Amino acid sequence: MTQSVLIVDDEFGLADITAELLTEAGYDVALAINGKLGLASLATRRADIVITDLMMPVMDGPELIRRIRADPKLAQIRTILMTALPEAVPTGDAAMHDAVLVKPFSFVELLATIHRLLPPA
Amino acid sequence: MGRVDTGIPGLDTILNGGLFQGGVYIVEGAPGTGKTILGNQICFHRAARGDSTIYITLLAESHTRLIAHLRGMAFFRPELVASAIYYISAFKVLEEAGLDGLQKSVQDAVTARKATFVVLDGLVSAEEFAPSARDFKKFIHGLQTISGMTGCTVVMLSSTERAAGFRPEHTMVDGLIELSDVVVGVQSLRHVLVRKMRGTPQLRGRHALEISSAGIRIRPRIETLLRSPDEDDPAPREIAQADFGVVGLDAMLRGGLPGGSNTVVLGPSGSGKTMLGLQFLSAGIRHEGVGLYVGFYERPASLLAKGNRLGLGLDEARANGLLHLFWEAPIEGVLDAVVERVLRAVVDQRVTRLCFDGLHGFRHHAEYPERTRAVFSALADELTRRGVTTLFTLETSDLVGSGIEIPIDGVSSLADNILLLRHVELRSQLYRLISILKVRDRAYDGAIREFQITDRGLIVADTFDSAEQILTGAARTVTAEPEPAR
Repeated sequence: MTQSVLIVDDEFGLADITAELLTEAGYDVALAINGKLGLASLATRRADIVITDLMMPVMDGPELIRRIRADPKLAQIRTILMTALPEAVPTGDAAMHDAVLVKPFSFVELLATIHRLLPPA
Repeated sequence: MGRVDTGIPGLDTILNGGLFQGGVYIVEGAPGTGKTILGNQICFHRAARGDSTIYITLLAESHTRLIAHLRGMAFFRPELVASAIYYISAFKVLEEAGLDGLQKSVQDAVTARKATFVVLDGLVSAEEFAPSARDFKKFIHGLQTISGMTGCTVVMLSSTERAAGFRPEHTMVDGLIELSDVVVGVQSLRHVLVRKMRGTPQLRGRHALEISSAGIRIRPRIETLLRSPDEDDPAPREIAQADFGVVGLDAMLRGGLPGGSNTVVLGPSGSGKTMLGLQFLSAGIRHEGVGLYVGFYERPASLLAKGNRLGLGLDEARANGLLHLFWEAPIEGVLDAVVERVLRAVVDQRVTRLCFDGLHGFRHHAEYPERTRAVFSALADELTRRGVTTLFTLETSDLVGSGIEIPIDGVSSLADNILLLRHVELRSQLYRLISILKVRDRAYDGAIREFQITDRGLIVADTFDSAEQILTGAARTVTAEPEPAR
C-alpha cells in the first residue's frame, strides 16, 4: 500500500515543492496551510506521517502534534516538526514530535528522516 | 492615546515619541531600503517590552531565509521567536481566499495571540489581489477596525517599485514613513522621511539611516534637533574672557575672546591654525577648564607631539582628564553622527573650550555640502548656549597672498569673531601674519601682526611694525632670538 504523507505549512513554495518531490518518490501527498486544516484533512484522509511547520496561524505545529497524540485514531501517526528556529522546538514533556528538521534542509535529509520513521514498504 | 516606542535609535526622536497605540502605519521604500529590518527590529523591541507581536509575510519570501538573515543582527533574540514574536505567512491565504480571507486571518491571529503589535510585510501583494481600488481601501479600513477594537498597532511594509505618487491608502493611515536609498556622487545614502504622522509634530525632512549588524539607526538632522535661538532668549550669562596665553594676541583682543563666543580662524594650510587651537586649549586648561579638540586630519599622537614641541603640557592635561581629543577621519560619514558625538562629549566632560579643527573636513562628512552652513550655525548656537568658547578653523585655498576666499558660504556672517592667518613671501622667506577681522560687540586692535611658531610657543609681535615692513617689502632679516611670550 502506498505510504501517505501530510505536509502542513503556511509558507509559500517549500510545501509545494516538497509535495512534488515526495509524490515523485512514490508517496501519496496531501497539503494543508495550518494545523486546524491539517486536522480536518486527517479526519477524512489517512496519513502515515505528518510533516508540519512550527509557526503557523490558527493552529501551530506543536499543537497539531499534541492533538494527533491525544486522538486514539491518529496517535500512531509519525510526526516531523520543521522549523528555521531550532531554539523554538518544544523540549521535555512538551516534545511530542518524533523528529525535527531544521530549515533549510535538503530533500535527501527529508527522505532519510522519513525512512527512519517509516521504513519504505 | 498611548505611545508605542519603536526602539529604533533616532526614529522615536523624529516621531516625537513613537507610534500611537492602535494606529495603522505604512512604511514604504524600494527593495533594499531596510523595511524588513525595520519591521523586525521593532517587533523584537516590542517583544522584549512584553508585547505579543506577529510578523505576517505576504511575499513569497521564505521565513527560513528571513530568520537566517536576522540571526546576524544584534537585536535578534531566538528565545523571543515563536513566543513573543510569531512569524506567519499569509500568502496562501491571500491566494486562496483573497483580501477577505487575509483580513479574517489577521483578525484571528491577533485575537488568538492577543497581539498588541503586528507587522504586515508585503502590502503590494495584498493590492495585487484586490479586484478594485475600492476593495483595497475596504481591506485597509478593515485592518483599521481590527486595530481600533483590539488596540493593536499595525505597521504595513510596502515596496514602492511601482510609480510613486498619490496613493489612496495614504490618506487613510495614521502615518506614512518613507525609506530611500539614493546615490550622491559615488556615495550611497539611506534616508528616512516621515511624510505623515497624525496627532504629533515630527522632525520633518530627510534624516540619515544607517544599517549595520546592530540594526537600523537613524541620525536625525542635527540642526532640527537643536533648539533654534529665540529672540526672547535671556541674555547669555557673562563668561570670563578666553585668553590665548599669548601676550601679543591677547593684547590685540583686549584680553581675550569673549567667553562663550565662537571664532573662525581662517588660513591656508600650514599657517598655524592647529597650533593656535592647541595654544587656545592649553590656556583654558591653565584656568582649570576642560578642553576638547576635534580634528579630521591629524591623529591624536601627532597632535600631542606638536603640543609638546610648543611646551603646552598636553600629555599631562590629557592624563588628568582636562583635555579630550577626538579624531574623525575625513572619509564618508554622517555629519550628524560627528556633531552628536561632539555635543555629547561637551556635556559629559563639562567642556569649557572647544577647538574644532577643520570645518573643511566637516564638509567631507556632509552628504549635502549645502547643509554645512545650517549645521555649523546650529552647532555654534548650541555651544554658545552651553557657555563653551569655541575656535573653528577653516582652511582657505590661497597659500600665499592677500586674497581671502572663505570656502563655506555664510560662515563668516555666522561667526562671532574671525581671525585671519596668512603667509607672506618676501625675498625667498615666508612670514606668518595674524590679524583680527571681527570681534562681535567688542573693541579690538585691527592691525596686522607678525607671528612665529617657536619651541616656546606662539609669539605675536607686540607692534605692527614688523608686519608693516613685511607687507611693504621692507622686512629686516628674521630675528634669530624671538622675544619669549610673557
